[in-house]
Amino acid sequence: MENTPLRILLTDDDEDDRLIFKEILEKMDIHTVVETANNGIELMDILTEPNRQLPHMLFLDLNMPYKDGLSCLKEIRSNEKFNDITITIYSTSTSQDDIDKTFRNGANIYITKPGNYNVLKRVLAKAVSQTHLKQDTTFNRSNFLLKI
Amino acid sequence: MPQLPDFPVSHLSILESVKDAVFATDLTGKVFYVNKAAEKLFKYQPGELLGKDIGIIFPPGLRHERKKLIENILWGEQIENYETERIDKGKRTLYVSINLSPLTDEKGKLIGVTKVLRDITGKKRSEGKFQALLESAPDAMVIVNKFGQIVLVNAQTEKLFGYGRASLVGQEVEKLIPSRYSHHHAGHRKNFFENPKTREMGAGLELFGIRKDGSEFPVEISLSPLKIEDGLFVSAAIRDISSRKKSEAKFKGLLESAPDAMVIVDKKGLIQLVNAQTEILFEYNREEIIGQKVEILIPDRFKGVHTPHRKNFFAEPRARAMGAGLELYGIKKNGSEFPVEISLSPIETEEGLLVSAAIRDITDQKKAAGELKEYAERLENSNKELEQFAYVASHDLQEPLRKIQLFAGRIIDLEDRTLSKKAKSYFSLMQGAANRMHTLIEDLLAFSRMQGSDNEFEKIDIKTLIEEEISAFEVTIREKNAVIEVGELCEVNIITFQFRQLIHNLISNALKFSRPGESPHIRISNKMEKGRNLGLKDLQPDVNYCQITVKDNGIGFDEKYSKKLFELFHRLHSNDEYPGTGIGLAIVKKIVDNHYGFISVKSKLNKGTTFDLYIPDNHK
Repeated sequence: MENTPLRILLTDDDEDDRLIFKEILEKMDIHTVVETANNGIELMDILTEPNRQLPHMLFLDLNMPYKDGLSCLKEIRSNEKFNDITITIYSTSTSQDDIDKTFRNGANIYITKPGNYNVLKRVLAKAVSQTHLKQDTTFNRSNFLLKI
Repeated sequence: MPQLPDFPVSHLSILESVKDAVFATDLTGKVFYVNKAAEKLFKYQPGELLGKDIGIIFPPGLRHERKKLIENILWGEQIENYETERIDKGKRTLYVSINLSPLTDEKGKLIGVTKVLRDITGKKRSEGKFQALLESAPDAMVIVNKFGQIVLVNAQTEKLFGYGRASLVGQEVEKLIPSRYSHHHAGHRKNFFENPKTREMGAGLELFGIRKDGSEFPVEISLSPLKIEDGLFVSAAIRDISSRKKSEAKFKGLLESAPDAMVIVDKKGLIQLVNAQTEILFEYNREEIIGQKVEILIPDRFKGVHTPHRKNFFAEPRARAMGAGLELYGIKKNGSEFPVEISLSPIETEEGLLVSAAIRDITDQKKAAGELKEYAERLENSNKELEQFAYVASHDLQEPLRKIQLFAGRIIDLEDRTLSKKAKSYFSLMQGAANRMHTLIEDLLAFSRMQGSDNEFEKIDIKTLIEEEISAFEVTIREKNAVIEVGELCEVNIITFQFRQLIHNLISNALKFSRPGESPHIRISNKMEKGRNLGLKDLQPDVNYCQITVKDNGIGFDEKYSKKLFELFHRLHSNDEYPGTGIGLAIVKKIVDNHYGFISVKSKLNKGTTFDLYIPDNHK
């Protein structure tokens, strides 16, 4: 189990954010494999690719062109195939409305992107370790809600 | 004793048996024969009148008659049915009809006069009854003979026309008619006598009478033929209709001055009367539509339903709006339609039940309502756009700013050893500026979120909410050694997420603006009161308000700024003293507005500030 890397898929249209995200995850103690998608359409293409190993954890930006994060969330949560994926909303929005709406639609973790690098590191570490901890237990993901 | 002529007895006994009074006098008027009936009528003893002058039976005022009558006889004329008065022995007046005949001897020489008098007192009495009947009539009654002469009038006639009876009797009836009509009148009068039947005079025409003083007045006249022994007469009942005309004029004035088009319709649906507004609105002259079916003013597609509706109205007449809730239209002469509002009222008149329809052109009203709706929609759209704009702008501003913060942090992290002390201090200044901008954008975002219109209200106990918000300041409270007291709080009707923000901002302010060296002491309390008891003119007197008071012992401010305090970006302190964006209280004000409430503030420099919120228990 220690050797099984945690597969993470980040969907964010912001190149800078993808860069920083990968940098932080690489330095993390937990062994992760990070893939990225530039928008919602790419994400859904990746997830529905035949014979594809599904990620354990999904980071999802909300405000994206072509297909926004909320639509992706709804689509993923309506497909039982993806029941085991922990979904983390990864957005700049602090709106209570956005938080409520995404939790109602099956998000597990909500992260407001902080401006401070060290804070970001801490937040991502928390989200990843929480997910990693629960990864191999028979855990009911629909009751897992975390606001960071 | 005069010589009695030799009459056969049988002749005399015939005369004695006659019911009429018979006198015979010589040419000087001396009575030489009276019959029993005469003595009885005039109440004399048998034989008492013989040899007396006939003048004894003349009333003192009629002595002149005697000479005139004798003259006629001398000229060989007969006098028949001459009606006059005589007196009996007791000086009582008798009404008599007299026939006089010359009395001649065998040779034909005139030797005297025979008078036959018939008592017509009874007839006169019934004439008197007739007069009394005339007098009791409410109208002026004028009886006219076929020559157009007035033979009889009543007191009402005297009163109405201002003439004495004596100056009317015997005059032509045209005396009572303005000269411009009198010519026609004589012709009409002749026609009446040719075809005498009871009828209204000049039906449909306006008739006038003229008084002695020359003034005219409107009248209504009904004519009846009067057939009596003496021939055919016409009786005219004349009624002064000045006051009726006046009230008619008042009614017409009222009708004409009405702001609406008024159309008065009878049971058959025929237009009886319209006002000037109707002419203007429908572009008809009144002559063109009076007498027409009212459906002439209604578009074809409504005519089918209108007729039965009209009949229903007459079946159950009461004032009401026509077709409540429906869109009604009128149609002009040129065929163009326009929207109308119509109210109906029944009118009871002499001519039967009528309905008056007040018709108002609501074209402008409809247009205005349409425009208003359009404006409201546009305003709503532009509000939504603005909201969207504020949100998107803040969000998109946030992104590059976050990057600046992030990468600045990266550089300090990575180049900790290589950067000079000065460079590091510049970096920290840059980060400080970026942080302030971050706060500003966050606050602006929060403010723009308060514009939402689809807010849901709920009644909740705000004590828990306040305690939760206080716990968010845990660190500051500990640092500043602050005390926050929360009194008993009641349920308030609020938009929860907004109210949370409001409490957050007020506590945040109270903690921030504390006096240096003094522990902040904040008290939050409330009470429920009727608007009238709270002494604020903006509150509605009958509404219950929850008054929430947030009181601190901080630095306070000069009360002259209390209005400015709630303006967006308005600040009373520099950033070095107390950092801030000037948005916090603007948000508070906005939230209070969203709750249909009011906020007021009292403050004293270096003594503390008190905010009072008034949130209505119920808002409509």
